[in-house]
Amino acid sequence: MAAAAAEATIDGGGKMIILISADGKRFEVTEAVASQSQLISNMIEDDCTENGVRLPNVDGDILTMVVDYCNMHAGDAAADGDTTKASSTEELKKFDAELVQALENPVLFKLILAANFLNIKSLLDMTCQRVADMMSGKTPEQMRETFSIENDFTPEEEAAIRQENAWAFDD
Amino acid sequence: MDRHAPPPEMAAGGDRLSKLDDEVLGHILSFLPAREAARASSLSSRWRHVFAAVHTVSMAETDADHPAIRGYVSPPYRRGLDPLAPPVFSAVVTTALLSRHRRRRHRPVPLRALRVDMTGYVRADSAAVDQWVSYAVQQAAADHGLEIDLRLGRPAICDRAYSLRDSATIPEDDDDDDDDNAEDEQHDNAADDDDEKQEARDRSPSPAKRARSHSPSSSDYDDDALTLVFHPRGDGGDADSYSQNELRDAHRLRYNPHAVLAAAAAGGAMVVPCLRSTVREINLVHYQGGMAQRSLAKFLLCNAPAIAELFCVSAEGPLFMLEQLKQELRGWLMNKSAKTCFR
Repeated sequence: MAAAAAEATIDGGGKMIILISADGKRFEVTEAVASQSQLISNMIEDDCTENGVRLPNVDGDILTMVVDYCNMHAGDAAADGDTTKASSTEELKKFDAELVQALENPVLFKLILAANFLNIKSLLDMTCQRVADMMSGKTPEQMRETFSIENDFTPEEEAAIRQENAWAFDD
Repeated sequence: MDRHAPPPEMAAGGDRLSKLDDEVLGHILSFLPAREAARASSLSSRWRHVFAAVHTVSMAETDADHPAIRGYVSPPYRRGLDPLAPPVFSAVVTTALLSRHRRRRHRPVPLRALRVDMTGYVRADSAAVDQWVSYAVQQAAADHGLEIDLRLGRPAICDRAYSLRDSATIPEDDDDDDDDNAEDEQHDNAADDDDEKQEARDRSPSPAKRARSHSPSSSDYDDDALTLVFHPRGDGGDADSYSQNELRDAHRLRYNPHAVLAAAAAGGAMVVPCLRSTVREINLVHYQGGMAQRSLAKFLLCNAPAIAELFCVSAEGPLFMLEQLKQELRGWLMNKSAKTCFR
């Protein structure tokens, strides 16, 4: 799937950039695709992408997803949503929704880390929003359960914090 | 930015969420209404101060906040004195903003957006609203700009829920940048001078438009008209004591030809995009010609190239002033062939 998506945009021309994941997997992407990451975009400007970009805190699996995502979204940054783009915007949305819905929690958090590190705003927003959706409407107890967060407060401490944030708890 | 995360053993086991940076956790919580975001502080010690990293404060008044619905009706001037009264919503918003500063020796992250939906707005709240706006301007993020969206005493324009969660994307910040702060202050002054409702009306169409531009399917509401209703100065209560004759003679129109109006010129960046592209009709109701109103009208008219119709209903006043104001408005109008209607 990664390959198919990559081929679709690959003939857009431009320089190719090689991304290298933590476990040594190599991904070849066009400059336009890679520069959706603010980090890489800055590196391109500084001309230090010659020997490939090493991403020591991004795993191969995660980078596959990121590259997929960037390939899908390469178009919309360039051509700023016109009538020709209308149908593919829908497709993009569907792609995004499926991508983010399918994720298991640990993968989702890794993807957030990667998006944050690479500074890809739209991907970071999308993944963070997914987590926010999972938190929304839950009591603190339910949130702890969902994300297996360990409550390290004593009951008194917790009561004090609730008291401190009474405006948020009383409704 | 707070990167001094607690020691990793706090987030033991499968809790990968808590291992993320404060910055990222704050970003996640920014998608939630402020109340829910603040509730996360009781999750664990890791989360205790994450609210300081929240860059978007969204609050909507619920039925529970509405004193009348709760069964308490204390007149606005007595609200501070009534020990039984629940905290008024404006105080809750102020508390929420101050909660960002709870952690000692740590600065909260800059504010990117403040959204408040307050249906039970009364005049007594206006001081609080001024404080929010000036707080937000002070705390604004230098690199992200600031979005202030106040809906005071009026229902939402569209069905968009009042948090970022449902708008699918975080608001694009390309329409505000650093110079926007000046702009916000200008609106702040306008609010001081007349009534916050004016500001609320001015601001609110933009998120609605944004929501629309992001979701082409839901474009069935028509909001390319911008209506500003200016409220008469002074306390509403005083009007009762005027006799009929006094009312008729009192003129509320002002025109000072020497007033220096804020520059309406704008580099493309600071103008709200929907104003540039979609606003076709501007209505000014009860236009009085005060400084703030004229600045606002100038700003709007000078930045709305798509305008096709301008309606202006002025306050009562002497004819020569009416004529001056009319000429002035016509002069600001970008599209000189737009239909104008003055009354």
